[in-house]
Amino acid sequence: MASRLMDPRTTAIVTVIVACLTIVVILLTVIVLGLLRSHGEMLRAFNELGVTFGNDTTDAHSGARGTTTTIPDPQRKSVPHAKDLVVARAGDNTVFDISGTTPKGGALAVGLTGRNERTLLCFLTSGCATCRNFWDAFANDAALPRSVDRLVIVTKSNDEESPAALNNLAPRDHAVVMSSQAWDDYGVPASPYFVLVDGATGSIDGEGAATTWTQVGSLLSRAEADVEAENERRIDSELRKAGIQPNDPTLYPTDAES
Amino acid sequence: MTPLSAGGVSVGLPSGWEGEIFNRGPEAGERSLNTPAIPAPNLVSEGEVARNVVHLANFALPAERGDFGSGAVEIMNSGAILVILFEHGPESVDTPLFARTGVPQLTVDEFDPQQMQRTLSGQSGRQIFFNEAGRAFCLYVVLGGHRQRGVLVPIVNEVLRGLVIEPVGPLGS
Repeated sequence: MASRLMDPRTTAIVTVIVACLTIVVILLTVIVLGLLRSHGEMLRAFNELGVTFGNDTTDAHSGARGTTTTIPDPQRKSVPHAKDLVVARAGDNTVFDISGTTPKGGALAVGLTGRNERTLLCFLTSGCATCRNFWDAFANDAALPRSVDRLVIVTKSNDEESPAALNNLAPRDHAVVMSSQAWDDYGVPASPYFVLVDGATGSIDGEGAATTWTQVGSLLSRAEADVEAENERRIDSELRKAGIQPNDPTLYPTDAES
Repeated sequence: MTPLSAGGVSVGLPSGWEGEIFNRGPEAGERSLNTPAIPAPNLVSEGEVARNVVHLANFALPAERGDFGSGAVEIMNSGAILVILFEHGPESVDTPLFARTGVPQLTVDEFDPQQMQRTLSGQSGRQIFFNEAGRAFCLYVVLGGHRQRGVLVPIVNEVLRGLVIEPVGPLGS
């Protein structure tokens, strides 16, 4: 019995080792928790920019590949965000017709110019978490903003996207065209991304990113109001230059004229 | 020119035009459930499986359309053009109805408001059956404005000249 007992010195050494190991484990736990928190904050930040990694949002039931990682071009100064949605495009203002395939396997070409209507191009992926807000909104018949005549969803081609996943997401009322070429043509830096095309002038009225459909609508409405206010200011200014002040009698027809 | 190609049919579209090529077979799903603006029960025999459908237009095509343009013809203005190619099965190629060979060119005089099954004010249409590359097609063209046919028909012919049909099977096969 006595031979099984450790001597006091050995007991002290073991106690010290156990204590040290306990402290090391606690320290490592704190470090790991800190790293996990930091990782989560980074993912959240990327997600707000519309960037997703891997198959974090893959719908297991849809069989989606979910590998549509989108990384902004590092050469680009910054990813335009919601507040920039309807500002004038700083760079190339060229409008491109879009040609690609459909999630069902057909071919689809979308014309954008030579018509008196405004088209909102929505560049989405099947795997991006923020994009899901828009897929859901479109599936639920989300109303188009007043200044938009139609909406076209543009995804990457089927070598970078999952047609099966898109089939489950595609709304009935809006065209979905799969074209990586369109992403290149319009210089799309991330998803979701929006480009507003004016078919009458064949120009791009604005572009940028947003996180919800409601946000897109309110931004477009606000931009519309800004344009109307600017027009009013411009007209007032031109009238003043012509010597016509507010409430000038010449602004109102007389009984004889009317 | 915007390229559009699928199912052995390809065409270059003028700027601003758009189009879709899809399969009309049972495996394609809901498209086959749409009621065409021009029903053609005497043309599609029982058991016959129609093949590819091509829609080309110089206006924004609605996402939901029937094979023969229902849903689209209603929104056409006077300058609008809708070109439809509807493929029939290989058993139709040698029938008298599809005896004409080659993608047709159209004349102004061929268009008639009465050629539309469901008459829409101001519109006119033309329907021709033909075979090309061992495949049978119905070409159906709708003009948004019959009075504009002198301007619109040459544009239709330009698009038809760019149409290439190859001897292949249906989409996805």
